[in-house]
Amino acid sequence: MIIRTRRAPLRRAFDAVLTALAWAGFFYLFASGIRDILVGASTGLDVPFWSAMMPTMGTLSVYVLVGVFNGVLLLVWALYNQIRFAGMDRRKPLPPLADDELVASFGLPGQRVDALQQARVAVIDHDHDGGIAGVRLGYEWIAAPVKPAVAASAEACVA
Amino acid sequence: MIERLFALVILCLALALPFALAALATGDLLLAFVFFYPLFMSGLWMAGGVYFWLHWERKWQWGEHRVAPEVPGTPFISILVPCYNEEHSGEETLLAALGQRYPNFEVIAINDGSRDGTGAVLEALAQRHERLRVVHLAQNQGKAMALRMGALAARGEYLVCIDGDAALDPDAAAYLVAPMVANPRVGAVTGNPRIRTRSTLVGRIQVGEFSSIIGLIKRTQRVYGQVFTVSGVVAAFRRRALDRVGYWSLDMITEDIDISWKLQRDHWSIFYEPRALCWILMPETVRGLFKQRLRWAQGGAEVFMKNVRSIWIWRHRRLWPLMAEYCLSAGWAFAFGMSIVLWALGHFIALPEHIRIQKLMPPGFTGMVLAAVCILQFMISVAIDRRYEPRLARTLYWIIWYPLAYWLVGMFTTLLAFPKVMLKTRRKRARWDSPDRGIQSMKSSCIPKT
Repeated sequence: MIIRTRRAPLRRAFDAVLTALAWAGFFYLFASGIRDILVGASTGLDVPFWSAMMPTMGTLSVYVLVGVFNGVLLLVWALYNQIRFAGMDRRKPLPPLADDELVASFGLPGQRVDALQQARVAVIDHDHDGGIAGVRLGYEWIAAPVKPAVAASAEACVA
Repeated sequence: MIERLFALVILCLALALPFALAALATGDLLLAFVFFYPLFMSGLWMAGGVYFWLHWERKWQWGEHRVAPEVPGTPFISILVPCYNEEHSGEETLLAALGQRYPNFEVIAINDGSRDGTGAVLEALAQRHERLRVVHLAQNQGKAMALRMGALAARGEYLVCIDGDAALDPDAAAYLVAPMVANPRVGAVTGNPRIRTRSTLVGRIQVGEFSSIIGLIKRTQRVYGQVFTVSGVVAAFRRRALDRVGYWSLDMITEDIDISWKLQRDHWSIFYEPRALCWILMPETVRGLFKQRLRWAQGGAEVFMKNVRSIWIWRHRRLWPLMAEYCLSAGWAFAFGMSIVLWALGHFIALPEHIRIQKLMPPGFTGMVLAAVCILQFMISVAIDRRYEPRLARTLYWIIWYPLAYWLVGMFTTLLAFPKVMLKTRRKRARWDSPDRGIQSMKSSCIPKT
């Protein structure tokens, strides 16, 4: 299923190198974060490493807490819905759409809807407003450049 | 008139709020929102993805030798395939649709006034395949109208709608319809699009993006209970539900987002079915990707405008968080845009110190957290999604670009699309555009834009 079109080796190499650079930028972001922490830790000569890390850990905890809060909120909501609505169908099951309802929605005579649903091949004409102007059945399609609407006669036409 | 004025007010607010935030507070606060909002959403998506997997997905049988899913009562399914200029890919699409293992179905190809040889290809196929029917629209009417005509011609209550260049997995139709048969309140089920075009960097980035972002978002929204949009490329609908909401709107640029909101406003549920695989062609050039995302952004803004005034009643309360999320995402785009403007202006004119943005890169520690969360999100998404594509982990190398593809492209397209929609005087009928379907098809299909 996968489509891999052949491309010039240079282009493929360019993509790979560009992506490697992106990863480098990514690790730079990561490393500069760690460097900031370590630099912060090294400013106080006698301050133990973990003491200097505490403010950072505090900020990190806020991030983690917000993440966990989001997750828990979603989880509680999902569980609430499961418990409250389990096995319940507040809406009565509706029957499949009947032909007469389809007729009413599309404004076509019932016989034409029926014929359209049985046809192997059909052509539908529309007016400028998007309304159905006609349905032609058993039409032999003639491909472009001839405009299909004026190309050939149809077996049946109902406006 | 009131609607236009309202749109203008919304646009002014979108432009003014980020500046007001910077002016009344500080530029750093604006930047903090820019960096933390993706982090916030990422956490939510990961939680949703993991919960969906734990609660449902891990219990679902899946593998190379899986049995075909059973649908109670084996109802008749109509697979609708709107085609516009699909001379080259239409046959593959239809053969995949006709290759369903489900026993009771038909395929309806709707030729939407194609200008190439699509009509002849469809007719030739219909001669060979009993289950295939062809409906020609005499003139091009757009995808929404093509789908409407398909719904009219269909014999089944359950409509599986796919694009004319998408290849359905042999069990996809059954997987899509089963939840609707089992749950009378389900009006639509959205499937799992998998990208086929992986020749260029742009193509490969989207493979990761579809797994790590779109897959997780869909799972999260399913857990929440409301879905922002079904995938237009593969989704199934209950015809009764469509009829109640007036079918697909003809004047919306993305008919899939609109129909999702219409159905949910009418209290129909939308499910996500990751086992309903559909192999799709996606843009493989930056231009193609940008054009596609611009269309998506415009579609989102149109649906926002259509619903923003009428959604605030208790009956629609479950859609409020979706609307809030859209507002925050659009606000994020404008905040990022304003940050760039303030940063650039700071180089040329003397801005007040509190407004000035010194650098656009995240501070070291924030950058580290962002990077770590990115990696975590990639890993979770690959762990969940690899059952559908066992070699998915190989795309991890390219996934590094996803923040660029998703967040940055999202920002630029929102900045362009939002004002365009707000300033639009009147919505016109949406017609087909010429999509980028990967570099392979570029030479063969030169489709004029309609």
